[in-house]
Order: sequence, then C-alpha cells, then structure tokens
Amino acid sequence: MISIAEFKEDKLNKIIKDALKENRYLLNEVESKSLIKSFDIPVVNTKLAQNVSQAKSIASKLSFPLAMKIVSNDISHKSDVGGVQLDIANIKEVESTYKAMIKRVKKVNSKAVIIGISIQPMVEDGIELVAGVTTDKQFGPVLMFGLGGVFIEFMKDVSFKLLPLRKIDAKNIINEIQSKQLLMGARGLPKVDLDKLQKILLSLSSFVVMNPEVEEIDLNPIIANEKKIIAVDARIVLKK
Amino acid sequence: MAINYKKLHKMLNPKTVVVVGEKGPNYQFLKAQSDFTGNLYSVQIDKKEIPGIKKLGIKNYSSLEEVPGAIDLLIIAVPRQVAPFIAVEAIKRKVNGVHFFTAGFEETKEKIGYELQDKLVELFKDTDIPVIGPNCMGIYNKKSSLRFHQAQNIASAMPALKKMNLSFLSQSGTHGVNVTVGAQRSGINVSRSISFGNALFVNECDLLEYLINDKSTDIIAFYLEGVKDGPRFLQLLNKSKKPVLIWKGGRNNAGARAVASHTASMASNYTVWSKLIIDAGGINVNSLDELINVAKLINFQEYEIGNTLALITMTGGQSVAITDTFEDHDFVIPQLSNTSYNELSQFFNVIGGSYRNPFDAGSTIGNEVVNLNKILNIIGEDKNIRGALVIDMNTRTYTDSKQNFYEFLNALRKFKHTYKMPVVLIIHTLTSTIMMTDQDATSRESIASEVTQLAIANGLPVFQSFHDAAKAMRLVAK
Repeated sequence: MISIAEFKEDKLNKIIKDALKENRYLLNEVESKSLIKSFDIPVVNTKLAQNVSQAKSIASKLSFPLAMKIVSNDISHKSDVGGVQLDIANIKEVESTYKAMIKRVKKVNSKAVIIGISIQPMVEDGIELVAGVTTDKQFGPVLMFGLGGVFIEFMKDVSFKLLPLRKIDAKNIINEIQSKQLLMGARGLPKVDLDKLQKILLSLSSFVVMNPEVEEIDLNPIIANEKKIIAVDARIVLKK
Repeated sequence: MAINYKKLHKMLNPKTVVVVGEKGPNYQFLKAQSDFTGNLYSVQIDKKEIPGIKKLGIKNYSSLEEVPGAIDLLIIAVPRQVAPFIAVEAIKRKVNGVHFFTAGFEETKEKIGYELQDKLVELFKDTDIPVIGPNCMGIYNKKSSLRFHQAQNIASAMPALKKMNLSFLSQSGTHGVNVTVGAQRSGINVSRSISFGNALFVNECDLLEYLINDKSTDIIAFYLEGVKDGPRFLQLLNKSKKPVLIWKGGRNNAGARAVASHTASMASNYTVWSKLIIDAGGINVNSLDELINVAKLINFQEYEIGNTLALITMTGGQSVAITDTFEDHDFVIPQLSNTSYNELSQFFNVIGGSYRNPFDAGSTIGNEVVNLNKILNIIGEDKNIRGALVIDMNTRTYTDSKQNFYEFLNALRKFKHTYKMPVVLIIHTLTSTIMMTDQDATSRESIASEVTQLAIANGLPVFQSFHDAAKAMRLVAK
C-alpha cells in the first residue's frame, strides 16, 4: 500500500479530477475499486475489457469461474439491465457472454454509453454484507453497515453511525444489526473475522474523511467467510 | 451571532413584556397574558385598535421609546413589511430580547419573504439581542404565567403533580399549546414551552443548551422538523443528563427521492435521524400521545423499568391480550418461583382465575384490598419479576365503593416504594367501564377520567391501552 499522502497527490486526484472535469459524478466499478483498494480495503481484482479479444486475454490470466459486469457511467444498477453474469466456466463462455451482454444492455438502455465489461474471479461462498457512506443533509457523512447483496432492500437490516468512525463505533455497528448471529457461525455458516471487519469499516471511514469530494460510497456486496472478507462490487458518487 | 445566554435567560423569564402591533378583536398575546405576573404594555399607533387594548386594562404607548423602564421581552406582531422598522426601533431602544410572531418570511418561499428576512439578519447580526422566530408563537413560562395562547391558562388551573418539570421546544405553535395543555392534564408539570419557528437567530441547539442548564427543567421534549446544526445538536444530546424526547415531524418525506447508491436509499432521513438520536442518548417518539406517555413514565417512575414484568388483569381474556401486547414489545412475562406459587395456591381462586403470571385476578381481588395486598407482596418478593407491575384496573371497584378504590391505589403506591418497582395502570375508557351498562357514555367517560386523576394524584401513571403502555415502556426500559 502506498502512503495516503502519496495517494492523494497521485492516483486519487487523477480519478476524481478526471470525473469532475467530465461533469461526471458517478465513478464506475473499476475506478471505484482502484480508489478504495489503496485504503487497505480488500477488493476483488477486476479488469476492464473493451472488446472480445481483450476479454479473452484477461480471462486467460484469471482462475475460473469468473464474473462479468457491464461498465457504463450511465448505468448504476447493473443487474437491472441484465449487466451481470456469474459463474462463467471457460474462455468460450467469456466470448459468448461478452457479445450477449452488450446486446442485452443496449436493448434495455439504448442511450447508455458502454465503456466495456469488467472481468473478475468469482469469490467463494460466504455471507453477503454491505458497507457504505452517505452524506446526510443535517448530520453530514454517515456510515452504514448491514446485511448486503440482494437482501439489503428486503431485509433492511442495517445500522448507521456518524463519521469519523471510532473503534467503539465499528464494534457497535456490527453488534447492532439484527442478524449479527449470522456472522458468528450460527447454523454452520462461516464464522466471520470481526476484527478484520471492523478494520475495513474504519478504513472506509478514513477514505471518506480524507476525500471530502465523496458524497456516497457503496461496497455491496462484501463477501465474508472464514478465510477472507472482500468487496465484490464498489460504487462511488461524488459531490456536485 | 453568538447567543448571549444571560439575555436569553432574562427574555425567557421576563419581568416586563411589550407587545407591538396587536390587533383586535382577538388581541391574542395581550389576552393570553391575563395572569402575567410582570409588567405588560402595548405599543400600537392604529387608532382603531387602541380602544380595544385600553378596554383590556393594558397601558398603550405610541412608540417603544415612550415605554418606561427596561424591556425584557418585546413581542413583535406587526405585518412583515413593517417588521424591519420595528427592529430598528427595538435595537435603538436597547430591548433585552425579541420574539417575532410576524410571519411571511422564508417559509413563504416568496422573493419578498427572503428579502425581508435578510433585512432582519442584517439588522440583528451585530447585536447580542436574542431573537426568537420569526413565524412562531414564542414563549410560555408557567411560573410567571407568560403565555402565547389563552388555552394555556388551563394548565395553571390543573392540579399539577409536582415531581418533574417538562420543558417543550417546538417548531410548531399548535404543538406548543397542545403539549402544554395535554401533558399538564396527564399530571406532568409543564414549566416552559417555546415555539421558535424559522430559528433565524436563536435555534434548537441554543434552546437545548439553555434547558440543559435550566433549574426549572427536568425533562426536555422537542417537536422538530429538522435541525440547523446537526453535529452540535448530537453533541448537546450526548451532554444532557436530563432525558430528551424528540418527536420528529415529516418522517417519510425524503424516502422517495431517487438515489444512485444502496446506502443512500436505505438512509431515508428518518432512519439515520432516529439512529443517531438514539446513539446520542435521545428518545424518539412518533406522536403527541407518545411524547406525553413517555414523559408520564419518566415523571412518575422513581425506579427503573426493566424487562421482566408481572401483569395483572381482572379477566381471562384480558390476561391473554395484555401478555400478547407486552411480548410483542419484547418484554418478558416470566413464571414465578415455586415459593410464590405455593403461597398463591393458599388463597387464590383458581376457578375462573389464574395466577401463573399473567394474573387473571378479578374473582380473587374483587373488592378486597387484603387479597390485592397478598398478591402484591408475593410479586414484590419474587426475584423473577424485576421490571414493573402492570395492572389493568376495573372502575367497577370505584363505582361499587370509592373507599375500596382509594385503598387499592394506596396499596399500589406502597408496593411501588416498598419494592422499588415501577407500577403502571391501565384504565381503558371502554373496557374498564364495561360493567356500567346502565349508565350513559358520558358518565362512563367521566368515571374513567375521575379514576385516572385519582391514580395520578397517587403518583401512578395511567395509560389508555395496553399498547400505549407497552410502547412507552419499551422506549424507556433498560
């Protein structure tokens, strides 16, 4: 990990500045992931392919199965437009998925400018969590943690804390969700490393505190099992 | 503009009040001050209005300059276009504090509203005069009978059970009146109510800070639609050793906005608001009734409410209903110890009754305070019950014999202090008087109200329903 000071000077400024220059406030998955990765938040290694041959070449260096997701600054909810494909088993499927996904997304949203498709290895099974930050009109930046993935909107099992997060807040916010038993290895589920989880939440808090340009950030889902905790998708919204 | 708390204190506890621009036939502020203990003057130049003011026995002057002595509180009730001119006069006259009843500023979203408001800011920003409003009802102070609505004089006429003093801060004048009157009718002494409107100068944080240090305030309650300074508000909540109840208006407005991230869509304003308020030590309530119900518990409960309850009703059906309601609110209704069950079996009438907890005790208690006392002592000694005793009262006892009913209340009050256990009464206007079939609805309601007042006088909080009690208890239970 490079130092935060170096990072501020270098990469971050460039990604955020470029987006703002283009009047673009939604960073895509690849941009968002590269930003948070430098803050010690584990993310799934993700590469951008802009044509079929790039896709095949990237895929050949990764271990199957893979996941492919549409990358477009005009699309914020990828699965709603058929822009997510999981469990891709071989190079042949990479090729067919690439073509089919571009076609499908264009059909649903003909105006969206498609940058390409991101390719990443599938993460082993685990509990799907969410962590994010939103800027509350009255109280300022607030961190959210809870049950993630597709369950977030159905279960609504999340808690909130004011930023900057203190160590005790990181501990409490995990304890405050209704399904915290799921993280403790209940019913044969993987037991999540809660210390590591707390550290990730604290890093997320520092990331937003250090980068006041950020209005919202979503790490959803974060997959957690006995071995690791890793963000599979990330999305950053900048302040207008 | 930093708040001068000395001046704010003087303004909230004024000895001299001047009302500028009151109009008949209502003369709202002048009439509301019929019992004000300090000096009250009027400033009005409209010849049509002056006779009406004089008729009220209030001395009228044609300018602020002519008013004798120091002015602790100036209530400005002129039309909005005139407000800046009166503001200039007030600053020149060195008044201690100003309340703008005048409305028609930013809340109208009109250009002229914003312009006039900017003018007021410009005029007052370099002074240390505390200004409340504009667009609000202002200040109620029970001790000096300073009021902003005539209805608030009911408050002084009501028997106040002086345990704790509630002070209410409100972004709505109506709620300011309703809480003053409603809480007082529930046996809670309301010492202050302040409606602060647009909070252009003195805001909710300044008033909260004042009340945290105020000797005549033990419980603080708010009606808020938003806060001007969120971080400071949370800091003050954290700092307050007094309970702070917060009723947030407009809870669902922002839920529908389109957002790009999951975090933002989950974070409807109220979800974040309620979480941060709880974290800072505040108590969220969702209505006027809930606010008063929680205040009632805090006011009457010297002892901490816990999770394990004893429930007493007079019939089997109610004993099931009360248990369902309290379990729905995550309370535990435990079995009693074997010792307790042994003792109960000696006298408890189990034909048409039950003592397992919940108690179906109508046929055992009847009108006999002796049996009620036996039950209370067993509950008090039982280590399984630590949270509270909730008892569904039947007014039949009262209509049968007032003397017996007094003894019941006396027994409950003694039990509460002997065992340091909170006692909560349910007197449901409909079901508690169900036996009074021969009487009309009005007398049933008046009996329920009489009984409620008696219980309050004994320091026992009364709720209208199991649900009201369970909800309020959940909000304060440890």
